Amino acid sequence: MQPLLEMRNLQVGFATELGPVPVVRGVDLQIGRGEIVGLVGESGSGKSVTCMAAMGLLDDNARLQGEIRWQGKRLATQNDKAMSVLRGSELAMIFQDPMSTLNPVQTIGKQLYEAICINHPERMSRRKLQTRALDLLRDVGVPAPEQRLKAYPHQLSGGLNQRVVIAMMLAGNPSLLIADEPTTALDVTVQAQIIELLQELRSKRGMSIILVTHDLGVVAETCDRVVVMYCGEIVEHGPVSKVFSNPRHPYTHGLLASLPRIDSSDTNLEPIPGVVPHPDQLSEGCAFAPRCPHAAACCYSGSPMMQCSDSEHLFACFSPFPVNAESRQAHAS
Amino acid sequence: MTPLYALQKITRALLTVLLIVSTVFIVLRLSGDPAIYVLGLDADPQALDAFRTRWGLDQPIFVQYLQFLSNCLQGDFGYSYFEERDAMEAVLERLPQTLLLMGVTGLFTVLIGIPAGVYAALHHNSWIDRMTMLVSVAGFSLPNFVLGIFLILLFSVTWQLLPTGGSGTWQHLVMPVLTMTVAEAAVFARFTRSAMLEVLHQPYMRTARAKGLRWHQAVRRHALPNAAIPLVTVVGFFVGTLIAGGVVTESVFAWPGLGRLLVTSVANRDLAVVQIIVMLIACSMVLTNLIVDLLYGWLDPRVGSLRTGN
Ligand SMILES: Nc1ncnc2c1ncn2[C@@H]1O[C@H](COP(=O)(O)OP(=O)(O)O)[C@@H](O)[C@H]1O
Ligand SMILES: [Mg+2]
Repeated sequence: MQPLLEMRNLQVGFATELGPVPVVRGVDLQIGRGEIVGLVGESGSGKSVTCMAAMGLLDDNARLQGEIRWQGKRLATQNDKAMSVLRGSELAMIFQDPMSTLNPVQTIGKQLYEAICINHPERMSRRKLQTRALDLLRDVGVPAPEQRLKAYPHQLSGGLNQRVVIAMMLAGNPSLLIADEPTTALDVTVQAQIIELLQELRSKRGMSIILVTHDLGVVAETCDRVVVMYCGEIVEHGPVSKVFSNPRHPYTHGLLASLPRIDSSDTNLEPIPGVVPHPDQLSEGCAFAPRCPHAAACCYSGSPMMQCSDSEHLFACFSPFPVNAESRQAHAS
Repeated sequence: MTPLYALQKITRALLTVLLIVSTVFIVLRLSGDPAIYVLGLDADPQALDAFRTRWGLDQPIFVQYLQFLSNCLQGDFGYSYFEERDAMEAVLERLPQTLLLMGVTGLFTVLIGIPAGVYAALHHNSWIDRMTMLVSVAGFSLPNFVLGIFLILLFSVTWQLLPTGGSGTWQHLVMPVLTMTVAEAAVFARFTRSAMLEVLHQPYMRTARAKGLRWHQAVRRHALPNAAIPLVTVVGFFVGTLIAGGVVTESVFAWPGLGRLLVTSVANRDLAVVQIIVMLIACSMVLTNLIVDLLYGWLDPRVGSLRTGN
């Protein structure tokens, strides 16, 4: 089946005073209908930039190469007019800090009406507009929606604001929602509610979701597939069950090992040594090599290509972790 | 905006006015004996005494202060010894000329400064942006009297196109307005530009576009209205520089307004007139700031309200 969104060798660089900085370096990614795909990686891996590229919302100094396809058609990501038609109605996006994502001096109602109007070519009466806005707010589980329409964002909690943003993005009934760390700024209990809401959107509307997050636990619970990014490249991707049970790339392994686990008696967490290098200070060869416990001489000279662990599970590494026993059994059966 | 917020601001404004009036009184009393100013150092002691009794200067200072306040409240702001008439009358006569100058300057400042600032911000880091800022720095750093004299040399002396000073026709207005507008528009353009830049990078601009708005729509509906809010707050400051600039500019171009009257009255020791003008300036600043505060509270719902999280 044709994927909804497809990126082919996507490269994004930024023109800065110090020269061009490559931030996304050849990303191939496909998102199918009704899928929830987790996008993980440390801060600065280029996750947000990849998402913004798909939305056509990159900063002015961005230089984009490669292609992004929407339902098979190549997107003119630099064309604001063409992209604005798609945004809201086909692709939508929610962001990290819901308290600053909404305009602080306009009421929730006004901002919701705006989203509804953009996505409805014919004029709507005030009554119809309000009914639609209330429906949207109810859909995302905002209690007492009538009162919220007159409220300003600072009068609502972070969790409610995030729900309002989601409601706004649903106004045009998009097929793909990109959620860029939607819960990072929220309390733990609220985080779970928002994630639950996203799952509901998928099951009720068949919406595809790209979920950018630091929380591998959430990925394990909610996502069908996971994509691991490091320094602007995808280092491993595949079905969550396979990647998490048998991470082949040392980076994925490191991310999982630095996670506190309830089901394990092994309590000493090992964070990945070192820090993410800045995009303009990448060494030759595999970008992860300087931090990698497995790095061999070849890792510093050539860049590893994507290879299959099995038909769905891919990774890019010269000295990967071996296929473990569990997976081998699962394969055999 | 809550009523409490408005009440607070209004009370503060009234207290400020009282403080200003009192300060004016004290400073003028400290500056010396008016009797000697008016009658001269070698005046007849009896004449001095008579003068003091006539104007209540022989009373204790506290009584004089209360008398002064009560006079102010009754609209009696003193007598212009120099013009030999009611001081307020002399001041009010000049007021329209100053208001005309300030009004026209204000209009041009807004019409030039705001579009220039918005344009520069929308083309951030382009050569147009840099040019705008360069011109703005130059305009702001150039003292009014230097620019004024330069304009007179150019337009009046060299080309003989415009009158050097005075008032009455639009030609008289050109150079004073130009002199003041250059500095004011420069400041306004800078403020507008930074307010816009601040707003353009806010996350809600990104959200607006993610909803499906085009860039220019997001600018019109979200950036411009929001950038206007901090701009409102500089209007108070703007009125201050307009008054200060007016004093210099009116003197350079012999414009018969309050600024020039202030300068001549200081020279003539016409204390009642100086006192009224100082109070007028102070009160207009207080009033502007009060309006700005109230307007700000009305424009920005976050001001003066408590956060009620769920
Ligand atoms: N407009 C820009 N100009 C220059 N560099 C940028 C710009 N936007 C993002 N970057 C850089 O791109 C890198 C990746 O950023 P981002 O995609 O936000 O990472 P992530 O979302 O994975 O934490 C960062 O190093 C950041 O500094
Ligand atoms: Mg990010």
